[in-house]
Amino acid sequence: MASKFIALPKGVSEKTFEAAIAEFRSILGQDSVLVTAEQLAPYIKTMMPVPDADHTPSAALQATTVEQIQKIVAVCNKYTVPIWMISTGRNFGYGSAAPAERGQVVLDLKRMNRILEVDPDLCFALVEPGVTYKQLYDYIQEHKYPLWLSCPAPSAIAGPTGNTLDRGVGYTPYGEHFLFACGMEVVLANGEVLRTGMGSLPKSNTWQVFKWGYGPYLDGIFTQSNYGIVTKFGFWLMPAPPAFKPFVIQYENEDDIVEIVETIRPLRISGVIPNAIVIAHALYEAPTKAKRSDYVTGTGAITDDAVRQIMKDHKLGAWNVYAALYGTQEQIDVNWKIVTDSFSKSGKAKILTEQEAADDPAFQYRAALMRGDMTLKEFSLYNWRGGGGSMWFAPVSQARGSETLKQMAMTKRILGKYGLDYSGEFIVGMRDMHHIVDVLYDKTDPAMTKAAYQCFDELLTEFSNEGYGTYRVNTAFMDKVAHTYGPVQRHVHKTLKEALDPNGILAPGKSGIR
Amino acid sequence: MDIDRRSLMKGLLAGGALLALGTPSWAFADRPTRNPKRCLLFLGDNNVDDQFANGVRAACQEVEYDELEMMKVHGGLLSAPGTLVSLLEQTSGARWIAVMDDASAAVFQELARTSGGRFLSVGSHASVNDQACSLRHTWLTASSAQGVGGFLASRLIAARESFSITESFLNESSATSMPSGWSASGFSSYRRAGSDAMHLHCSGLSLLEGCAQLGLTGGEGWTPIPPPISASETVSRQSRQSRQWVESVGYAVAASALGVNEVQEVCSTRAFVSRTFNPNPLRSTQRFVSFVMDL
Repeated sequence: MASKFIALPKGVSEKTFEAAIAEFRSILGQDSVLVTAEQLAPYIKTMMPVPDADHTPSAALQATTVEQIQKIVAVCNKYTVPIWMISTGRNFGYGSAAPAERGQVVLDLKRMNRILEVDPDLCFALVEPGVTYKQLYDYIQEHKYPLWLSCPAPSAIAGPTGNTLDRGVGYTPYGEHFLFACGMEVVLANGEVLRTGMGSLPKSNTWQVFKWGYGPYLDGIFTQSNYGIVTKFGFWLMPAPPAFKPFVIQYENEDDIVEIVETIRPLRISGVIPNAIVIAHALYEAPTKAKRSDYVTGTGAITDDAVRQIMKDHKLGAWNVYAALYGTQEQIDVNWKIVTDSFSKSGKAKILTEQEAADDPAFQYRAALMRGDMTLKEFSLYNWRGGGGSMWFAPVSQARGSETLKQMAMTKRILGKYGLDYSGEFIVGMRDMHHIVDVLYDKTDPAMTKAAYQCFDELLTEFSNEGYGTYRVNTAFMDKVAHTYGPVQRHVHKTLKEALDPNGILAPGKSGIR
Repeated sequence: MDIDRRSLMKGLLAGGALLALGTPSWAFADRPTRNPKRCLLFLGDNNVDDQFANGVRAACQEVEYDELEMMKVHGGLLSAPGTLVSLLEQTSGARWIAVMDDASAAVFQELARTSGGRFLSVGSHASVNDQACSLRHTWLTASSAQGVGGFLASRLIAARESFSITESFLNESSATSMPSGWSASGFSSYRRAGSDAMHLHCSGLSLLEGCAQLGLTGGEGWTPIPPPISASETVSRQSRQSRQWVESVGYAVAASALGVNEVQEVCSTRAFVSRTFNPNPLRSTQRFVSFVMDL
């Protein structure tokens, strides 16, 4: 006999789950507890090379208040039903909205979307988890506040809470998002509500201006974790600069990455270039203007000759460095001279200003991201190979040219072995580089899907063998990445989990923590 | 016979002869039970829009549905996500048929979920330069009641295409009176039991070859499904065929969206694989995603 549910939580009988669902309905109302296949299908489809059935939720709950969430966790504890929390669920290439394990109940916080405060003087915001960047952007525009956002690539539809909690990045000087987080409200597994930092102090008005509070700093343990449900999130906003000068610098050869990084590092560390600089490979930018099928036929990775032809046809460098200057015109003029002097030394760089690159669709969306505007153009990547397969491979390296060249060569070699293209970029942090590679494959092709899985697995293995850690990963590989960080860290994570969530109801499997 | 069924039957009779002559065909259940009151076709500005829309129109014509509304977003959803949000807000209660490229589909899925969209099916479709299998289709379908794969298989086999279709059902059919398997002339059908029961229909290739094409390991555990489903249980016909595979997809997706029932198979996954001799198998690469969604 067919089940009433499309999946069940691990170890939970249908009868028990039915009882839990009845209680969820009494808390949220009938319409906010989703159990039918049609309702849950939008939560299921992922871009990972594993069956969607592995990540099928048993239900989705749409809460609107903290009190409802407190009651929900009580029910979860009572019946040992695990929940998987999403804010907007736009975790493209990292698992989307689907839970880590089959049968988990999605707690969808999209309806908790109130902008609670935006302070134009102290430049901070306090929002609920369902608030999107677009919503906040519109709010700021409407109120004519001189403030800028820092958004990740799916800016218009993603939200600051989910992105920051997953330690995502943006492209403005505030691009390391967790660095600019300030104060959280968290519902713990036992139903208690914690306000971190200064938020724990009654009558305090410094929750969103002083991060540290008193005693151990707790905010970090609620990122990439499953120790609580963040229901309010504070973060700092960037004052709109009087002037903004985006630019792109193109280099002809892949080996030029060494010179690029060595040139950028001092400019970044000293703050001459204040934003998260992107060094994008030609194939990362090509989908905004070219079709792969115009250059490649048959199976296998794209050839270097084809890449060079794309570069020629579409005015791309092998590497395309996107950065910007912010401040007064006087500051920008001074810093522009430093930048151009630095990059001009070898004679390899082709420096293009906004005026010179204005018609370039790749430059347009990069410039938009660097000023916190809404754009989705980066997702042209999904049309490059087509077929809906995408996984972000995200190892970290030192900001040294030799390291980045080594990482690029390793990645390209492993991808090529499995017939996949290198669509990569480096994002320059304060002293590190996030190496971001979109492992694109055709999920309609069983052979390529299998190859993509093996390829990703090998990338993680080989990189960790070389001492390169991955900072973020999709739900199919969370355990593997957690394992690369060694047993002691896993033990500490588990100890915290057992202390804060003894019944293991909050997102089991997140970051390999159960 | 209710109005919907009358309309359907009238459409069928007007469209062509009943009962295919040895050709796999649509297999209609008693009546179209899921016909929507309002149906919209959303075109995401992809290069397959026109062909897909032709197929949708053909299906509408056959079931005498003449109120299809068409919307096209120019520049794709990456340029205009706000347009989609507005449309979603304005079309509550409607059934959407949507087609777009992969990038737009990623955005569409997210925005539709936020708007409370309920997906009946999501399909990925590709034509590739591959002699063994030039057309690939995968569907995630809410239940076998919303099945699409059989419709498409019938059309593609008649057009002598080599293809694979894999359809995963989130809900197993609970209708025990339904036929347990799809069957058609030229296909050999197999069933693999278990919690993830699968039906596999092969034409022009063996069970082992079919498994290999789908990336399934080994050929063990399969039992043949005896052919065929009795003609008296279903009404079958040779629908108007098209050499345009995209049009066939549009036709099949629309038929399902408009409430025409396929034979419902009691399984978690079903697949159709076909290999036919085609003197000119190489074709250009085209890819797109289709949705059937209720708002």
